Amino acid sequence: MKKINIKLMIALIGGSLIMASCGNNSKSENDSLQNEVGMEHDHSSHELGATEENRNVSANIGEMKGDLSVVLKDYFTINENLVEDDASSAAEASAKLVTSLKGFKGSKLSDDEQKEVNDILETAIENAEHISKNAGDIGHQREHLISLSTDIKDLIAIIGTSQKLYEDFCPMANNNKGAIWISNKEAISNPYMGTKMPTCGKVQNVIN
Amino acid sequence: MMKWLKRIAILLVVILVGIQFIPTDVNQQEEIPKTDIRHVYDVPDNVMNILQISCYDCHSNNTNYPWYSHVQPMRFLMDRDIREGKEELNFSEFGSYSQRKQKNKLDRISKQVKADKMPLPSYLLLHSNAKLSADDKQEIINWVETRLKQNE
Repeated sequence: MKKINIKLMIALIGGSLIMASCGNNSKSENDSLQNEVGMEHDHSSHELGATEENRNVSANIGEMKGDLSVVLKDYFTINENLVEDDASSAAEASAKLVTSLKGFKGSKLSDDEQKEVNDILETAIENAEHISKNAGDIGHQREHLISLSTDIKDLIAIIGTSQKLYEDFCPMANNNKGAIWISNKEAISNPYMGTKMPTCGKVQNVIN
Repeated sequence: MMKWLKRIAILLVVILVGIQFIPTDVNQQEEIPKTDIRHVYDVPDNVMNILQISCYDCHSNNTNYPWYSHVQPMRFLMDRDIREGKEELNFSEFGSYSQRKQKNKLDRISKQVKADKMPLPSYLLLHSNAKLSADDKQEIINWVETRLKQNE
């Protein structure tokens, strides 16, 4: 009698476990589906907002082909955090940059320019995602900052900006191959070397 | 006490059998697509060989599944690595990347290899032949550098 009871119990527990796990699965699937729908919704509304903003800006300033101010602000924050070796704040700032890059829309771009901008945005978003996901590996963040900075530079070249910016160069970054970054201050503060060598590098180009 | 141990053991068996029925992904493709890196660039045989042995399982549309891939929870972990691997870099679709992305990816390949970050340690645990020797690494790095110079 006892044995039968045990077997029954096990069968019941086993059965309910499988069911429970299935139930959980379908629930989490639902959740993720809802999340996705929610995200898309957010995204589209964000994009709408961005285009409206862009329209205002391009009405104000004739020759600019979009408003990079939010993108640049987020990018500068990453750099400032990396100058201070603060990987987790850089990751947070980079998550914001992902959002602002995704929301960015150019205006009055030729087909070629639009294609170029799309390519730049794609790699820039990827680089920013890597920086945001690697709060535990500042070296990895800095590697992606090298290529993100080139993306930002190329984006500025096409879109334009009203800010006075500096293209800085550090010969020691990128395993001594050298790397550039964009700054809104004339004084050098080097995001690749951090607190070890914050003033390594020089201004090699002034934008505006 | 024994009774409980027995129950737990049986329970574990039930779970292990249960998870074998979780549906899996199959990452396989018969033909080598036109966008494969070997059709995009003139990849030397030695480099192509290394890529196929050490990278293609997770970074292409064609995984060489070992026997234990048919056993859970191994497959579950494998599917995740393949999904994430292909999202980062897919050699089968390299030709569909923009010039900028191709250049970035080449640069990333050489840096990840140089820093011993790839192949993943968890993958090497059961794929000892995928481990890159110092020579293998140098061959990849050299090829990437010549490639990047030609792209400039």
